[in-house]
Amino acid sequence: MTSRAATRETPTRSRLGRVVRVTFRTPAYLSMAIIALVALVGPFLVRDPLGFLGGTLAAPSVEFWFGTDQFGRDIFARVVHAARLDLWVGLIAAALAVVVGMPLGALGAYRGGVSDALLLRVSESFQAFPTLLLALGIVAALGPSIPILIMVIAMVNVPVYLRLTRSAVKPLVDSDFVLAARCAGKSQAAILRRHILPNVSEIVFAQFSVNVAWAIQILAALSFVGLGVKLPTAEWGAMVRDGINYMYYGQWWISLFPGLAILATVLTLNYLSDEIRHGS
Amino acid sequence: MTTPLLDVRNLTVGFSGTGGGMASLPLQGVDLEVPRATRMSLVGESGSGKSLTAAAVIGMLPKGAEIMSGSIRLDGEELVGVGERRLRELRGRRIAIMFQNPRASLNPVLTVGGQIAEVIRVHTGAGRRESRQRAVDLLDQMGIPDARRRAGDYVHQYSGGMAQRAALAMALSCRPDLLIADEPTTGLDATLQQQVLELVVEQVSNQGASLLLITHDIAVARRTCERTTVLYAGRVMESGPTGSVTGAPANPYTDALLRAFATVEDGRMYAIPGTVPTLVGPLAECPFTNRCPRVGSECHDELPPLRVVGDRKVACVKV
Repeated sequence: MTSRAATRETPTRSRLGRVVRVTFRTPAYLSMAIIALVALVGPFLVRDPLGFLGGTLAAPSVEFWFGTDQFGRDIFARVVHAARLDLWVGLIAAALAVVVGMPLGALGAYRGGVSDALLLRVSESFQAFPTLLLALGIVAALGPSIPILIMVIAMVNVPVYLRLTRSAVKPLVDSDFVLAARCAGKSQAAILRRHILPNVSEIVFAQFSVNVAWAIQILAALSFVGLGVKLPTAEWGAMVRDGINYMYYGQWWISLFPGLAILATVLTLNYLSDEIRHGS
Repeated sequence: MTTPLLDVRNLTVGFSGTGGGMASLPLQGVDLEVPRATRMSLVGESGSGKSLTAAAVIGMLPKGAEIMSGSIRLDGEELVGVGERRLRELRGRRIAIMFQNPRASLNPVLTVGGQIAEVIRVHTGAGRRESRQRAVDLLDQMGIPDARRRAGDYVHQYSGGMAQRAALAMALSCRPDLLIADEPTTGLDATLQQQVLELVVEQVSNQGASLLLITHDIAVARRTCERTTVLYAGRVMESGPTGSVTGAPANPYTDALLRAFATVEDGRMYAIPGTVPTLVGPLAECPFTNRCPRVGSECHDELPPLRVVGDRKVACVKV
């Protein structure tokens, strides 16, 4: 006899199945899965990113897929290692920005009045400066290190989440289900946490993907101008800067491949955001 | 004489204007008594102040509105001026409310059962498993088929009638003393209206709770409630046993309201001529004078007080 339970998919299996189906059906998810896999597993499979491996400035070949740099380091290995660093910094910075900006925006929208106005003015004063210039200024003042970079990138992105969440929460504040939750005697914190924030999470997560891309771009830009990750650590922006002078002499591969890695990751994250927004 | 469960006296609510003064006074001296284990309907046309009265009772007036004077007592406890913390304890636990649109009043991203269980947890301190089980039992009691499975569904998976049953389950989850039902059947078709009303009456009676049914449909009040209060322009016009109020209305407004719902005159539905007055300041005369078929010069002299006339209270100088 076949039991009903045996013929039906368990919730966990069906959820996993859906994730797999969506991943393979949607190019953005597939591409993101590949980048994430490269960042997670890649560093264990490639050569030492700091090791001197022989010929310097060797062009791409079967042995060195992306060629070697002026110190004879394998650019492919460095690009793969840098993927982990860039993605981590991007993810942590964007997550920190969400953790701070989302509740503040929701609280401002829910409470209104002076606290809302104050939060808006503070976020506007941050947004009055171009993001990159603001990040440059703060890093220049505090000194570059990975934790400082993460903090600065998160800080310049907090106003984005604050305003985004605020504008998404504002129409919900007077909605019937929030009113019903208040009538049921639920506390302000519980209403925000359980009833309002889950309703705006989709918008925030779509922005999160774009924000990780921004964070990677800011990190690369800071490294490019020498205020980000210091060499010899493998980081895409720093690698582009490292190879820029060699472009004039025909050694294009030193900058090109890390540049392409930035492009591919940023594009993927932007497409992913579109996919999340359109509910694939 | 026993204290009524809900006793609203001389309740005046105003909306503040831009200059700091009052822009309007939509409730002007409302008196309302809901005895224990009694079904009371609050009837009136749009803009008469029914929902605002309910909002004042539950301490959830809209932005800009405030209680100018009067008292609201629940089981003898004064609610006007009481802190938000105490009001939160009372909401859901002692006073519950169900709204007109059940689909909108249930959170679309939480399961129906989860939402009911959450209310139980907040007010009774029950554990996750216990509150969940009680939520399923309540849904079952409300006639939701396959309640255990449906408790895990979202509100968009419910039909209108089922959603209203779920909203009723949530409202009654902590066995409140008073259920305020704000036009609970307006969005439902005629057959579902009757079913939901019967369910509300049955469940409220089973729990020994009182019901304050807000409706613009006097026929619904007649079918459902033992007592009826008629509200017009923020004033109580008539209040008493439903049979008397709707059977032999003493106030011309009650009479007009009944005719508007029940009569076809000269091949046309009867409509009360004119509109509800805008309540920008304190009333100095009967608010129904501009529409009343029985209006006389004495109606303009003063604001008629609510007087006991036989088995009811009426606010009309002509009675």
